[in-house]
Amino acid sequence: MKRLITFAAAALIGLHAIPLPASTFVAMTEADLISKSDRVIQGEVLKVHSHWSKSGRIVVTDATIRVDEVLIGDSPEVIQVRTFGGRVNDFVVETHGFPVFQAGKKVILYLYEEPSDRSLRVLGYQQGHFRVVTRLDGVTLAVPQVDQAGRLLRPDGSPVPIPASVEIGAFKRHLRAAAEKLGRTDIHRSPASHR
Amino acid sequence: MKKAHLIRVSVIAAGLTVFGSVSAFVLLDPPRTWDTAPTYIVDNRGLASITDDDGGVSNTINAITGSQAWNGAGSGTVIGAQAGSVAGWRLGDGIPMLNFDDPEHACNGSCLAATFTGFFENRSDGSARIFDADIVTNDRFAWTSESEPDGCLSEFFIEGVMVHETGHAVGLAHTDVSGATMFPSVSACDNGPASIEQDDIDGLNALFAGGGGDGGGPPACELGQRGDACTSDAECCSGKCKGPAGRSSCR
Repeated sequence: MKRLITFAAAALIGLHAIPLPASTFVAMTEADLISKSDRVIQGEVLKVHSHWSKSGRIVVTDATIRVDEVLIGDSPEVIQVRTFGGRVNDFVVETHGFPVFQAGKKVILYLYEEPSDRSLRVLGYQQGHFRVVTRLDGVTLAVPQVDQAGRLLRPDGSPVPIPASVEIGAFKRHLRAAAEKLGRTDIHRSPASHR
Repeated sequence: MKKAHLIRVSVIAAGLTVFGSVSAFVLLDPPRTWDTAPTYIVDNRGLASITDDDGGVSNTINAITGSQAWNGAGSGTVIGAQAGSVAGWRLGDGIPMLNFDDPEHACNGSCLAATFTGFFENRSDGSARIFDADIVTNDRFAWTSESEPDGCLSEFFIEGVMVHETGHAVGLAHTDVSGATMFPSVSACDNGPASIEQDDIDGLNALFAGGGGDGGGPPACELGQRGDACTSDAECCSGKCKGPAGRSSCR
């Protein structure tokens, strides 16, 4: 009973957590993320660089990422991934609900090549972005970066719950099994494979 | 003992619930406002999937500037809009535009609509000055408006989504009050977000009570505030005078 009460109180506190600003997104299913991504990689953000796009119409940020492991697809050892928003001098552009990169952070990314400018982007915006974080007890987790900054909806318009963090080994096993089930033949099972 | 614990937790929970329902709005961080109320240029091409007279242009303008949305919150005119060309769409030019297309291919795939806010962190009071905030739309989704003759079938209402997005453009973040315009989810065929609720009103008024920065923010509405006695809608900032004759008050 006491545990139930404590859980209920924690849940209520959780309900009052401060949400962040937003755009509106329709949620992708896991199957969509896996089947529509060109590659899924684990790596570390080496540096980020924000600048005006070639058209001069918007600020973009390019993140240089060292690829430590290719989980699905092919990838060189160092890639550049583009997102929108960033700071140029004292002008800040906030793109609500889009992926945000920080140098030094370890990540897992579902990536695709945007046909309009051939840049690599994160598929499904924040849904395709996970941080790799090691807890004090040594357990490493894949932490979803969906943070309410985007209004994440199912195609029928109903809200999607925030996904949970998963132990990284279990995350990869699940990803590979799901990809196999979907018929992908470019799944890598050993670390540090660059193609 | 267990009973005492249950009561204590219940009181805390009730307190949180009451607090949440009374004051759950959230402002963008850092807090930010425009120097003067922005006037949005709404893409005069409209959206092809909206089969009203002008592809949803008029409905969008009326929704984001009407008294049921931000201008009716009691802080005066905080946003304007007019139809026009968005050919010059560019973040950072100080001309806020609502584009029914996505010229930079930033909002595609699973993105329905996106707001980009450009601001400077240069006010002495710690608030930021919004210089530009542009909105883009993914026209591959099925959109509808209140004026469509054929009703709604698994479509998204342009009015509700754009009142929500312009809420961000004027400085509001998400709330956890279900039913409020700034609640972070909406169902297909639900145009509820087109009309702001008390939580949205509280959020906007808190934003502008902060002074609005260098320019002092948009002028305060000199008409009746919420709770003031009134005899007609025209006497209220919100445009809503409700209640029985002789006891009506502004909402």
